[in-house]
Amino acid sequence: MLKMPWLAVVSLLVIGFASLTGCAHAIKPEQRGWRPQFKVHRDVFANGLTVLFVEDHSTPVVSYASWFKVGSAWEKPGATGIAHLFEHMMFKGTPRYSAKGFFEALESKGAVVNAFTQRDATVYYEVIASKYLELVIDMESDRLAHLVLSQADLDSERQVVKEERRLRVDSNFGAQHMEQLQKLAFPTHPYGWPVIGYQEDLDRLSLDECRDFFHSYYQPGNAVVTIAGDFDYEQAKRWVGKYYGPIEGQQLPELELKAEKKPGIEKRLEITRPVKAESLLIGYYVPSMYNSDTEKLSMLAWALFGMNSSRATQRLIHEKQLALGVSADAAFERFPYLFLVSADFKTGQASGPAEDEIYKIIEDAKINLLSEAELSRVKNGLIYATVNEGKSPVGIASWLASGEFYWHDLEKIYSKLDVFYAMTPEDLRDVARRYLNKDNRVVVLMKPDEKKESGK
Amino acid sequence: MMRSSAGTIGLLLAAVVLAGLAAPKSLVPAYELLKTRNGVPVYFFPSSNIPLFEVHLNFEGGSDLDPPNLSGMGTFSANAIRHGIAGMNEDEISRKLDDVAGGIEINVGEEDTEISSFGLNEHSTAINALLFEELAHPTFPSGPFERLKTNHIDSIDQLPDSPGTLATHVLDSVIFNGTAKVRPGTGLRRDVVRIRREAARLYYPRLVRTDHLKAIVIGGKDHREVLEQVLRGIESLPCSACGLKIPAPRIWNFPAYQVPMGKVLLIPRTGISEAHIRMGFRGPRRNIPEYYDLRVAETILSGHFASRLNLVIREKLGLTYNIGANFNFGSTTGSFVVSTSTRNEKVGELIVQVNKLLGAFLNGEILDQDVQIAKDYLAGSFPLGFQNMYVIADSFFNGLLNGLAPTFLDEFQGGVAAVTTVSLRAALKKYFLLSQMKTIVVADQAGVGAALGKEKIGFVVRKAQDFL
Repeated sequence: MLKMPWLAVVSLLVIGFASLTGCAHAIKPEQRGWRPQFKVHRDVFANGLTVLFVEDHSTPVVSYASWFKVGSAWEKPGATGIAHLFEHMMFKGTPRYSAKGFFEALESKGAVVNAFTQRDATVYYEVIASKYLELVIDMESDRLAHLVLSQADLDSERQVVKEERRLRVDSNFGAQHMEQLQKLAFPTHPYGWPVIGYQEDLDRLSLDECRDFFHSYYQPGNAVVTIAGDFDYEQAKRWVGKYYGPIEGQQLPELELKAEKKPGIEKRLEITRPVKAESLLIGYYVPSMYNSDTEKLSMLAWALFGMNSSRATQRLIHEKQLALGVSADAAFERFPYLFLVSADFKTGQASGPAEDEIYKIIEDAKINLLSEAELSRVKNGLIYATVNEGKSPVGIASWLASGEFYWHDLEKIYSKLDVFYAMTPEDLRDVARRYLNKDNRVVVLMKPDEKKESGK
Repeated sequence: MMRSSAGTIGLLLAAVVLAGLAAPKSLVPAYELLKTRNGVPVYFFPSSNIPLFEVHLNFEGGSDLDPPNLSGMGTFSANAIRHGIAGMNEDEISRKLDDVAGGIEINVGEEDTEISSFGLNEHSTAINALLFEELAHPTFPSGPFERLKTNHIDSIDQLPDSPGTLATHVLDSVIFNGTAKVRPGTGLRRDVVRIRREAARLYYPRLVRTDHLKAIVIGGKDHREVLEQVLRGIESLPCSACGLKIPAPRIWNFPAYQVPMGKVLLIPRTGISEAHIRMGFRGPRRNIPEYYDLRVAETILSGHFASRLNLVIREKLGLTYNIGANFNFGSTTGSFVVSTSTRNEKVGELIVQVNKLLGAFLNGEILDQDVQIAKDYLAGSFPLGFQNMYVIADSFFNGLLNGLAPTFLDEFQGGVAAVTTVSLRAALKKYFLLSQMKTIVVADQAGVGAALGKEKIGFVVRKAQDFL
């Protein structure tokens, strides 16, 4: 069964979409396999708003996503969580549509409406019957121009977000484990705090800060909108011009952040929680998604850890039975982040032998090249995952948006799949040597708290 | 109407019934219904624009049939197909599948066992050859079996580390006590430790039997060998239990799972500041006339942002981040479950408010406008779930397994449209059994005791291990 790392790989791709402003191109044939056939139009409007239109008339549905270039990386210490809290505030209504009215207007048409916040982006989306596309464009542009923010709404939503944090982090020991790893790895960089923020910061965020946040980052020029599904491009473009056109906006400068200074030695931390068994997180500092090594690291993670036939799975779980589960993920971000390895253990099982074995597997990959068969498995898996993700307009829209959003250059993204196919065992060995080293890693071990045994 | 497959592609084509074409403008794309020589119905949904295939083999009978004191037997027996076949151990099987990016999955449900394969059309021959070899000749090697067993026991022990999952499991145990479904499909710890490899091997033919099999093949329009191979594979499966009657599911009754009426069942879990709450009662099966009324009812309550529970419990009272309520319709029975969480000190208040809201709902606090909004939402959102043929075909097959007619997907919009406030209220009187509702709280006992007491809510305390 394919595991999660493929999602990270596929999300990097945004494959196969040739695009120029206002022009449509058919997808070029892929030498090694299938590629979806869609017409793509990319338009940049006068106020800076970028819109990607993807026509797909297979089902009468349209997927609409608004990507804003702001996330927790834009926050300051003491104000953590504002990007995510503000995402909630974006649903609080306008003079035309109250909070309840916003949802009722869309949900009465059967729409799926939601949003999510990441380190580098905040995304709002709707999936709806395509005959309601104009309504969605109207409503999304309306809240971008006329959002109403009130103290009462902030106070109630603050409670909801604090509940979310209690649910997702304070009652989730795995999430607490990850939070500690990020804190240890990034003591100065915003990637060191959680997207959802800290409770004490959520308590003190003010209405004025929310207003400033809205006016600073919710600009047409700071957004990419993708519309994918069953619609007519010319008509949709006219609607976007009609509803978004009057919104004045400015292009924001790219966020500049200093990369975290690497400690140059291994950093380790041991924490205890009321859990049954130990668990281990290892993070290696790796470059941002704009570095050409990212695809190689992603492929290495998958080859060594991601498949049932991977070396780590077979040696740690099947052969030596040192762990219940092991995985790796090269999660790439706008700024340098981490190549993550995680392992879970049986009750009473010590993590030490498994940790040693993980390092042996990595050291071995620096010396002995992966076989052609191992590499071929990863490449075949990539083809399958690409086809599978591209089955629906939602998947296509997600690829498109991330390509435009992070690279501003779909032609460049177009070649990413071919980069994967061209990769050699030497490429993977070289990145293992370059990044997966003891003095370049942080390790957090979570152990059971003997005084507070779980389940009691 | 079904015909028998003849084993070659030419004859096969002659034997096909173009079942889906009989219904113009149907949501369900054209499909073919065939029958293998050993009597297995096979639904074939060809696709030409996406080069993927899926094969689902659905064997009637699941964990409900597990032998006495050996819950989990079905799960262990079926999963052994991945552990080894003649000349190939589990790692070699994994390598062979990963070579072609294929997948073989096993899912033992309460009432059925589904074994599936998927991958790219161009690799279908290799993947499905492996699938049918695994099904026909599993070797049950001891090493992987014992590892699976040890790891599985440990995962049961670690379940309290996932309090939400634990709460759901305990609620199911309580509301299905006195039925075959009270035990988890993956087995109770006390039973799993007793399962032996040889017993699992002997049990296997009772689970994987072609006289209680239905199959679906999706994809491969220009790659018909996918279908051809599946038909041949099914016909080649041994079936030593064929003809034997499937036993009635065994009824289990655990005194420890009985909760006094009106009391909350508290499962202590130290170290968490959020109480995980599940409230529910036993519900109807899928194939009932009131199905659409109950779908509209749950939509008024939950499932979207403008629904009643979300607007009151989350938006107005700020008691939770997430609250959901829905009917789970099985093929023989079902449940209605409210899932939510709140900070420890608010657990009593939340339970009171949810009960108040559900009580008012049952007692008729439903406007025509509420019904219309919910109907509009269901009607509008229905097509969104069908963005490709693979999803449609899966839904179609699941409906058949629940005893529905092949036209059921096309009946959805009409069924929803026919719901009225009057019919909905009548369905609630029949199936919304609030008087039987059980409430489970998984939380730090020290943190929630006072909160329950403040609202005069009595509670009984049981250990998580009692339900595992």
